[in-house]
Amino acid sequence: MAQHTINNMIREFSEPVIKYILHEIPPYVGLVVLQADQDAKIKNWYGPLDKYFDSLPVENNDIEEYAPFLVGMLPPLVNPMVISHIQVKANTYAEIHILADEYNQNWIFIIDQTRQVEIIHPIIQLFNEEKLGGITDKKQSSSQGTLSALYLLDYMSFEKMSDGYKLLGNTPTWFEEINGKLHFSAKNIDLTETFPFLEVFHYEAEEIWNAPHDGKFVSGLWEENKKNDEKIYLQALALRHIKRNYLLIKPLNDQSDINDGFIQKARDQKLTLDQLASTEKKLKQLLSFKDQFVSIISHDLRSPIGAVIGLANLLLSDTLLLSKMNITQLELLSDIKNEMLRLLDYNDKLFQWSNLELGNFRITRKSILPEHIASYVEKMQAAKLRDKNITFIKEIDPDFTLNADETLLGNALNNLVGNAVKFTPSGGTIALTFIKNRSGSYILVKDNGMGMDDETRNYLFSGFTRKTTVGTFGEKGTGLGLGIVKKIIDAHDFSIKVESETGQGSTFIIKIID
Amino acid sequence: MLKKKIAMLGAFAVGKTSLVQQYVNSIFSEKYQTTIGVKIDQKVVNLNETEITLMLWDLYGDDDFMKMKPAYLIGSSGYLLVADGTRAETIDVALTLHEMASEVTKNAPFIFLINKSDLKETWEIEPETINHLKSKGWHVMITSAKDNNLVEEAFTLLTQMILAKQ
Ligand SMILES: Nc1nc2c(ncn2[C@@H]2O[C@H](COP(=O)(O)OP(=O)(O)O)[C@@H](O)[C@H]2O)c(=O)[nH]1
Ligand SMILES: [Mg+2]
Repeated sequence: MAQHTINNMIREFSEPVIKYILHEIPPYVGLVVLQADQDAKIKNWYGPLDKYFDSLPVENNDIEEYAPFLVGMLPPLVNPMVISHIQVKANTYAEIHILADEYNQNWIFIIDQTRQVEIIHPIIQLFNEEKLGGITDKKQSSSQGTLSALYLLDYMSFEKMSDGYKLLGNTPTWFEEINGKLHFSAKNIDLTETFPFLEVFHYEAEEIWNAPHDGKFVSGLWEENKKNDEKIYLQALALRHIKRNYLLIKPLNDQSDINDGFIQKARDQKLTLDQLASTEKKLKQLLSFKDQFVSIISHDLRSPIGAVIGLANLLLSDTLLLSKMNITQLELLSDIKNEMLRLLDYNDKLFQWSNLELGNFRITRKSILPEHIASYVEKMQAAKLRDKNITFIKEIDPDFTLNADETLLGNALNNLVGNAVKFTPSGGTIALTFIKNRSGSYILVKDNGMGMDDETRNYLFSGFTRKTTVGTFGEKGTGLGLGIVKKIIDAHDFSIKVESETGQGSTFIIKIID
Repeated sequence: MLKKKIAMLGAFAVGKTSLVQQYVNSIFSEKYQTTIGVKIDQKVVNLNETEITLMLWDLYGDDDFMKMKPAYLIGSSGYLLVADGTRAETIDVALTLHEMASEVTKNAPFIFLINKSDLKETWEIEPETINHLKSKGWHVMITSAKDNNLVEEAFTLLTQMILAKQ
């Protein structure tokens, strides 16, 4: 549980916590976050802790011990709780936010306010002096005197007059660095000539300046270029104090605070995410285009392939022609027919596949009889079963009920049994079983054929595969069949798995979810 | 001298800063540095024998991370709504900002810019969307801060619209 950098924060926090940070915490501060559990034990920490603490925390220690300013604060009385101007260390002030999330975790956000306190401090000082009953004249000059000295701390201070501003004290060095010039109109300064940003700030500051009581208002940030091409962020503070109005401008000189700010990072990350999302969208479009393409082509190929098969059949039934052929020619002709049949099968599967990928199929579930679907499969495989002298066993639990798309599930089982036939030697046995027990309903396709190794099992349902295993009679596969089965099973929200070992036969198990 | 405030409005990273920098300083940088707060640049232009100082208010983008303050738009004579042609959702952000801006500026003139026209392969905005914007009677321009395509034209047209409205 090492100290985390701000960079990693966003990735690790839960959504409500991120939202809170983004909406409630100013973006330009070196934010420190402490996480404590419901017993106020430290769990995690982020950000530049050395700003506020002399050591790193220890996981599971009391947070109050580590951060004494939190004594009695957890859990927060109001949620979230915000306390300003807390002195966390000598010469360091902070605003503390305490947020309890829905898991009763306490989140403590610490925001540096030292600079703000530095500005406000002389004013509070003046305020107290006044309360102590100083002499009016002295008070005025001391008020201005304090503000005048602020340029030593990098502030530019003005008193707001009815027709412009009066500079108090000197201009700080940064004003020189940004090539700043003061524009006088009559005897006062027109500040908006120098800082056009103040134009909008005035609308907000007027409220403070016209108020019957003392107050302050802090502006947003604005950016100025320095002579050396670096940039500097400035912030204005409007003050009303004893019926007089002031304007202070301060630089946020801690550049690293701004650059490390997670706004930049959050936005960078958002950009990357957006790009990923749009790439994904485009990929999906491309894939769908590919499937459409395959769908159209495979549909169009069906008739020419069928025509060649018809032609081969015609030749093979022409006894006169056959009598003139030698053995090699006969074999070639029947090879043509068999290859074409295989091509047709492959093509049909491609067509099914692409339509499944396209989502061009709708599942129409209805209650179907297992006997019905089993007989269909048996009929479809009858010729091959006979050729290889394979015994086909149907076992159907009388309690078995099935709600599924009859055509699609029939297709899937047909593929599975067809596969089993391929990998079962002559004289073998294939069983199609519908069982229902306490743990659920299952359809099993079991053979006692070649079985398969782990590697084959792993890529089995992955859609296209280059590796097709040759059957016991040298049957070639398409590598598509099981991909189709998987799609159909998924579309039903059923699940499928296979149990197998090389030489031990295979069992495909479909779990039915009603 | 005549001074006019022009605000740059749009989602983050659409190219507001880049457009201003291209227009004012003829520079473009690939590096994205998010604008925090406001940066004001000035450019003096001569239009119809009048010298005008354009005050270009490059504002931070409006998004979940920071909300645009309407106060920043006070006093604007016109504004550029900027969207990113490779991020369709930035159009919606621009439309929302337009609602705010037209109210605060009392229907000041504006131009809708769809920026990054150099990025053809990742372009996301359909011609129908652009036609839809145009059908509202708005000026829509497809710009590139990178290739300096229609950047000056956009600022000039907006300035003309501002002057015509006086
Ligand atoms: N290709 C390209 N990139 C641009 C263009 N305009 C801005 N960018 C890039 O987009 C990113 C954001 O630009 P920026 O001006 O900071 O956007 P802002 O947040 O709206 O001010 C930066 O990486 C720029 O380099 C453009 O016309 N074409
Ligand atoms: Mg910017």
